[in-house]
Amino acid sequence: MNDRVRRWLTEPGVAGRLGALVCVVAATAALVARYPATIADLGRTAGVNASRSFTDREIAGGNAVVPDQELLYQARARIPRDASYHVAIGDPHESWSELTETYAAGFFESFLLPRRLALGAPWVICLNCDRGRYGGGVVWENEEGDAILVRGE
Amino acid sequence: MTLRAIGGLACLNALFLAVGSSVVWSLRGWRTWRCYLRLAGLAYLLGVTLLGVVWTFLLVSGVPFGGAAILLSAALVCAVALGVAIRLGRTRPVLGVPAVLTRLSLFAVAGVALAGLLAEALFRGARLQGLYAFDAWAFWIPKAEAIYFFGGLDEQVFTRLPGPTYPPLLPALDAAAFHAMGGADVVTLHLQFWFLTFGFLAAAAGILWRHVPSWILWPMLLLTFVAPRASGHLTTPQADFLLDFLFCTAALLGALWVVDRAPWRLVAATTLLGGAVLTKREGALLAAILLFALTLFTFDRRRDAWPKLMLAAGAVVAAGVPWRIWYANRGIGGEAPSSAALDLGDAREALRLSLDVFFDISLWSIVPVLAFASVVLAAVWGNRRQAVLLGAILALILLGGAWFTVAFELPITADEALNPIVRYTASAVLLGGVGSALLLAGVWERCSTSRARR
Repeated sequence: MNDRVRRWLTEPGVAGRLGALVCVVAATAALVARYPATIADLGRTAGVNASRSFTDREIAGGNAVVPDQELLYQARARIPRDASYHVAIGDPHESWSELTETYAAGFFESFLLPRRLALGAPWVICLNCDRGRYGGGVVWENEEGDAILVRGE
Repeated sequence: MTLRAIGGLACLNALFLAVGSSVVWSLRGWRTWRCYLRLAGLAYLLGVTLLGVVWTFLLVSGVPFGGAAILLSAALVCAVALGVAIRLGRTRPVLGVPAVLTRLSLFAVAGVALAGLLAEALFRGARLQGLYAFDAWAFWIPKAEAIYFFGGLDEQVFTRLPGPTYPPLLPALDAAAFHAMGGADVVTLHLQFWFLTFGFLAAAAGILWRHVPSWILWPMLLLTFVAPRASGHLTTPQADFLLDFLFCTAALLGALWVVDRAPWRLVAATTLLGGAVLTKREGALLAAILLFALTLFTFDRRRDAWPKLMLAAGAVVAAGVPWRIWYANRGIGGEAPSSAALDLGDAREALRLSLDVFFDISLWSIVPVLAFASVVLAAVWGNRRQAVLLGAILALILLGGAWFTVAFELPITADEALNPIVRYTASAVLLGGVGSALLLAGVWERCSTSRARR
């Protein structure tokens, strides 16, 4: 041990300085381990995001909730911005996720603003629902039984 | 479309910086441009907070919220702050003496470079991020869209969506971002949270710059930001990290205020706490913890400090009152705990959960361990007042986590879908990370001073 280090270790306050030094060294070591991994993770996230379609990015969480992306866009295109709609949920279909029944109406509400979600609204977004209850016409439908309806007079 | 949106967001955040800069000028003046650069992050956060609070008041008052309201309110806050600054004769920034580079400046340069690289990576990660977080698409963003589309606190949306008592500061900021972007672009909106993150990083570094040597500051600060649970969620469009940023900055200012007693620090901390109570319900708990701790640790000079702290507490409470009146008038309740009785067994389990979450290395790396060590070291060799203050705040936050788990009868689990304790504990971790830099600097300085004296 050279004189300089020995002097440093025998001066007053050495325990405090050593403690602080150990903390900073530990933080630096943890930073050396974490920092490259974080930058790599963020780079991977950026890559995954960039590889997704515009639709996947815009619907994002809704992909796990709403069975058909086109239903969302059809609803946005066909229901006027100042109109209201009702989400009718029928018997679960094999294309549904476990979240569909509980959260689909909430996702439509978020995605379709400023259109308002309301009971008895003239527009009905039907997820495999009993269409006979609403009468009127089918404006759009898909093969899984989802449809956009306009209630009968 | 997105380039226009990004440009709009940049303008909105420049507006926050301009408003905050005029407020800091009125509070303490700007001596040099270097001083301005140092405190620009704090100025930005103050701008976000003040405009957020003003916009919340406007929304609660029923004033239509649109481009005109955003610009006029910003102009008004700026004009008042500049008027106060001129009346008080605050100094304008001058060029000042050029910085002298030393060997230690290399740490600062490396720290700034690593922070810049991290900011760039966060930007790329957020740039095309979809809206995946449940709370974000279930209520935070729909509330913001409702403000954007309907120009106010739409009763149907705000009373029926989950979390009807959650304050509207963040939805108001998001709605302002939609106006700035020219549409409700929920993908590009993630960049607004990048601005907030970068603002906090700059604020924390700026506040500590003169108190903490670079070789202590940057490792602690950067490690806090790259902790697994932090780096993956910083740009999620929810209120959690914004609340943590405001609280943590206020706590840092408070910890410095108990030592140097500079009045501007308490005013700035109060403003940030006012924003915190309007950001999330937990903001009220965190504000109460900080103000209580400051009161406790200024007992020896209570004649001078306590009236100021009473005023600060009054201002923080006043900030939260209009929103409470708004939702109470609409018959919304349920924010009080479901049970007043405290089961000791549950309390013990909840406290264990709170501690487990705080010391969970897979979530926060070794930041909490370093925070604990720093408090102990500083209590023995450093600035005892700051050590005990920050230690008490951290302990109270953890007790607070245990309390709400028991009081709201939440399951004893760290599963975020069932108990928000991980998100809540982030405030303690963030404060522990940046606060430990301050405490370690105190230890180093005092021990070096005793060596020099000999």
